[in-house]
Amino acid sequence: MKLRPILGTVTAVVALTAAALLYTAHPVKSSDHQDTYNLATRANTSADITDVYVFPAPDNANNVVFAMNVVPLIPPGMGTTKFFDPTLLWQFKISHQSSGVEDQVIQMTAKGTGSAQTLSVYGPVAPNEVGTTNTVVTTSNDGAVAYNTAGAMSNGVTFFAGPRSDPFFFDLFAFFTFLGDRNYGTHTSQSDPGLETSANPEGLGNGDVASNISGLAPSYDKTGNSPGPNAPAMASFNGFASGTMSTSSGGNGGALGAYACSTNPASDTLDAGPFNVLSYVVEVPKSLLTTGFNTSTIHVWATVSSSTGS
Amino acid sequence: MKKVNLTLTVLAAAGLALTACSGNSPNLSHPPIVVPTAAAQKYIQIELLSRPAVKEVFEPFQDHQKSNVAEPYSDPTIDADIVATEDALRPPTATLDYGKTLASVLYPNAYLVNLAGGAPPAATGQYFLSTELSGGTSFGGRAPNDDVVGLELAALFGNALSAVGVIADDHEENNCLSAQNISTHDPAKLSTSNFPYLPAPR
Repeated sequence: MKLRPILGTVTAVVALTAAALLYTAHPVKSSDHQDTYNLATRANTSADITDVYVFPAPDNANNVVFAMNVVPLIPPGMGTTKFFDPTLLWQFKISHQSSGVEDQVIQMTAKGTGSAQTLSVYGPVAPNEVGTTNTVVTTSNDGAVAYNTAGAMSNGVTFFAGPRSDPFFFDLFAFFTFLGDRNYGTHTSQSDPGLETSANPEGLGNGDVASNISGLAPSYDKTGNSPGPNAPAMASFNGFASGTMSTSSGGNGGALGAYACSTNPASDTLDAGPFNVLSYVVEVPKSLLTTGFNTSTIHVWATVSSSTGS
Repeated sequence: MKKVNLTLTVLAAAGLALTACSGNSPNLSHPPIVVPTAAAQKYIQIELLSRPAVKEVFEPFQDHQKSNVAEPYSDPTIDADIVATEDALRPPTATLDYGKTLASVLYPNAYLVNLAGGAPPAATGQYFLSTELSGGTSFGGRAPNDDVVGLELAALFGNALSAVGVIADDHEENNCLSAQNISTHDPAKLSTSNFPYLPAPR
């Protein structure tokens, strides 16, 4: 891991503490990396979606690209040692309706394990069921690829499944200085609120850091505990020019008031590994998403499902 | 950044084209794959994601699981969490309600995509939230290089909403929280112009 040296401030101490937590005792989440305790602690973390992308194909104006990244924080050189869990179902869900209910799905499944794994793609196609319990629309299977390869399906879809570099960037350390609750490592289970105790005074490493910021307290500290003794005094991201204040000219600075912003260097935590992910990338002709529908507007989200619901 | 190379080998007999695709290895050829037959297995949702960092920024950790097992249009917690968070930072006034305004943009928590839409607005140069904030003329969705955290911080703590006319400026923005200041990216993290577009593993 490469960390930029950060010296001499409270923020530095907090950031380095976060780094220690991140890479030793407890990995942490960011965009949606390690979103819940349960997802983060599964033996195979391909149920954990880190990011979802939907964008026009750069090399074909008639196509749209759907991408879903899973398996957070794969260390460099280890991308091809991670595989998709063959017990799971991954889906892009697409709605053409104002109600939001999905009327098309793109489904992916894995077969086998290790480097001989094959990945299938189904659709886009109308789902067998809407909602949170689904089955695979087997009649829409237009092909499969071997792990870490791409292929053109018979319906015009192009499909890839395998390791990629994680493109997401986020100064996670700065984020945790005022929202430490989002670090799953500060919770012992999904139901553990991570609140301060006399043996674990509030500070980074405890899930209730945010309650120390008066303006954030009502929404983040659901039990209304009083602030602890080790709270960061002011919430700030890094990389601001010297003299930058939380309040603009003529502004009020919101509920947090006026104070100086951090001038410590900003850092992309996801580049510290640098980290990889496993990716599903599905390039779809737009015609498969518009034919039969009276609008070009769609709503898109991604899900992962298991046979047990856990 | 290593460029991803892609070679399509059409296997006419199988009606299947396979492509080797590894940014760190030469192109490979593979034999036709027997398409697996999936059983009528029932699958129960355990994870959901669309817009990045919405759950992380707005939802207390314990609420993430509730959103993960719901459909975005019937999420039991996130709408209220968005309002509560923004209300704490920018309490609603008689004329301005940033909490409800932000929730109206971010709920349901699904990408809004206009398949007939165009390039993102010049002001941001990013697809993320562009359809929601442009009246639907941009493509929307999210491209790999979009500074999604920066855009969300600008909406939550800054004046991004008032800048596009969604709501009047309340002068309550907090500069220290409205940007993450990561302006230069590692080239190895940038997307490519060829399928599969996401950067090669490192």
